[in-house]
Amino acid sequence: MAPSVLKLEISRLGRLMDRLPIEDERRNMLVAVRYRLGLLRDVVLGDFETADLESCDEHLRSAILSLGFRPDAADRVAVAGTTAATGAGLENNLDNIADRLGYVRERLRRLR
Amino acid sequence: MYKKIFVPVDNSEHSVTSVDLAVELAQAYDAELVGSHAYAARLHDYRFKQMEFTLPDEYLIEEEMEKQRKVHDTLITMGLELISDSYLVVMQARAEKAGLQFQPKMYDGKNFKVIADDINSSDYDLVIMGALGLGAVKDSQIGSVCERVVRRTRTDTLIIKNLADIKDQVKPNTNGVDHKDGSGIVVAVDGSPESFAGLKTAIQLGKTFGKTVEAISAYDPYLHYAMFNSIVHVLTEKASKVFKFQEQEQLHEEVIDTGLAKIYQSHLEVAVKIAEEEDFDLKITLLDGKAFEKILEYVRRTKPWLLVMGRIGVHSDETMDIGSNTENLLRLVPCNVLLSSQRFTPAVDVQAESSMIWTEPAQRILDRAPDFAKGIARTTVHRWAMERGHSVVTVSVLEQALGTILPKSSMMAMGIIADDVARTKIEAGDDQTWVCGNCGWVARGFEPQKCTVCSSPKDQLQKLDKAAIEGLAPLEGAIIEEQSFDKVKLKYTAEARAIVKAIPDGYQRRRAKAKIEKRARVRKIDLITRAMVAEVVDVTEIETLMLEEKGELGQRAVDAAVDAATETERNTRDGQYSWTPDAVARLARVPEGFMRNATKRRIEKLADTAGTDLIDLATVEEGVKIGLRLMEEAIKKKNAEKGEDDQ
Repeated sequence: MAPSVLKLEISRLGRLMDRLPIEDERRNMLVAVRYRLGLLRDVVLGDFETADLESCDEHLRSAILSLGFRPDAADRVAVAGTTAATGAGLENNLDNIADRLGYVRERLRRLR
Repeated sequence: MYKKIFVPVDNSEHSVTSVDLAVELAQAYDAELVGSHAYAARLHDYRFKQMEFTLPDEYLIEEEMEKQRKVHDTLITMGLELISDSYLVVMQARAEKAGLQFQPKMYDGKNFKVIADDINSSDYDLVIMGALGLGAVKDSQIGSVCERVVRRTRTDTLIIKNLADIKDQVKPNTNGVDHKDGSGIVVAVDGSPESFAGLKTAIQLGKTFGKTVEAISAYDPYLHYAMFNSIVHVLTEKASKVFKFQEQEQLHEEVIDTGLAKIYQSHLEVAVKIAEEEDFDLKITLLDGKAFEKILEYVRRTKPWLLVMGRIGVHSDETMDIGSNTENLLRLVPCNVLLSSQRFTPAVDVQAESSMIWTEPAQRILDRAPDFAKGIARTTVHRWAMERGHSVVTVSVLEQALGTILPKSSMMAMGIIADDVARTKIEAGDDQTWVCGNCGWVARGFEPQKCTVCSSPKDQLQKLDKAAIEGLAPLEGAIIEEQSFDKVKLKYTAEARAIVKAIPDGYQRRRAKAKIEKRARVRKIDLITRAMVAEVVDVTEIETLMLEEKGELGQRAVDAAVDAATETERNTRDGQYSWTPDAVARLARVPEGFMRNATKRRIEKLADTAGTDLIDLATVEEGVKIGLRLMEEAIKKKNAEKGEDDQ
């Protein structure tokens, strides 16, 4: 279950990143989240039996925290106007990603 | 819980009770029993020879002396063995009657030493031994063998002091948490991993024998007063001022004394949580005063069946043999004692929730986080703070803790990066932009030394030079404004716009245009040039077709342009190289590990030689081919060397 969710979220984050202008503070946040999920994906796709579940949890915690502490709307740079992709739609998307990652984390914690 | 229980026996009352309890525990936990007795044959032999001269005259005749020596030799070599055997036969009979597996052991040597050596070289998980041996007298508190073994071993050890019938000792106590005489279990908890392991053991014993368990913790608020009073008499007036005695005393009163109570109360609260996880009811009591004295008083008053303690305490160095409070209590308490050498560290979250305090500003920052992140942030900060010995979370602690896992943008979003950092960032401006080729992290306004997300080195960071890109524009004709797919206006050079317009299929054209515009906006480039279009479509092919026949572009060119875009999208970026999907698939067929890594390096070298960052199937095939050839050569060379050696 986890690899599929992670792959899905990584590609979703990639698409969201592409929609944001380079100076939008949220872009680096998405980069960090995607990077952590990439590391986690490598772990769960590898030899999961011997995987360090503590490090899996750390990647997920970091990703969820980054999504939680994201720049406020006032700090965002409005380049090319705000659209569904960069405005409230994006915020909802990020909340949903965080929810799904929280679910994955909860499942992984049961394995520890 | 226990799988192998070891009992050194000597036929004393304490030893007999130890065997009785060992049988009870082994039955409860389906454990194996090992009994041992140590006899010092060589010591007896030596002593006898030393005392020969004290024998009466009739023995000091050559023949008689030889005869007596032979008699004594027989006693030493066989008699002691027989005695040991008879001690162990009793234990063996008890074990067999209870249907337990039993292993007898006998050794010749100094008792405490051979027993400790055996414990340290075996896999016993519990040692049960009497506090006193056969040599005990009225005022004996603890026997030398017991004390020396305890000091030299690191296995849980249960020391028998209570000589009442074991069936009475292990009876359940049903009077709630109040102890009946000799019935309950008291655990001394001081926050050390040994004491928490002892608590877990006590809970298991409580469950097994239906006994109540009570955790007690003692802190000493008076020590500091004693210390200060002793200092005040020796300080000169000048030194007192430097020392700020009154302020120090006040600080200690307010922080240390009240803090100590909180710390030890938190240990008890952690103990309750551990018990709750085991679905076990635990009574807790906080005592103040000298730890061993208060615990001793408490044990004398409540008369438990067993006192459980960590072998060493929270302030002990790990190399210590026994903690001072444990040592005193081991001697003085009237009940059985279990010294826990196992270690258990409660989840840091459990410890932190009971002991960590947040300042208001730090709490306000945490409250800004959405619900899904709040708990995780709190745990992260607690872990970081506890590892470093903090008990209060301030903004500074919060900043450092979250800084270990959050990107700077999120830190700024939370308002926990200092204002001057934010100001520096703004003042630096946006003239310079660097993008990490590995993860996509962007640095603006400063030249990064490495990627803060994936730690890629500086050479992986690509500088985006807006001025250089825009400088090409005048060479490409007039500037034309175009509307993007989401109604934003962007500028094209005439040449760039013509190439895009030349893509005949409407869908593919819109797709390519959107992609080009997206790239430009990500880089914050307002003007789209031919070079930027070329990143997405095969410009040369389209331009050739444009020149061939105006308005009659063949489907082949469109397909090529679209394919180029699609292929670029599918490629995998790995550092500075872009791998086509079939190249990645081919490399994956090379055996993982050294061979694949070496092949990959060889392929990247081939791409470097060819002056491209694109690695396709042909490049991979070439790299694999070279690798196979090198391997063949190496095998041939090795075989040749082997042939020479054989000759």
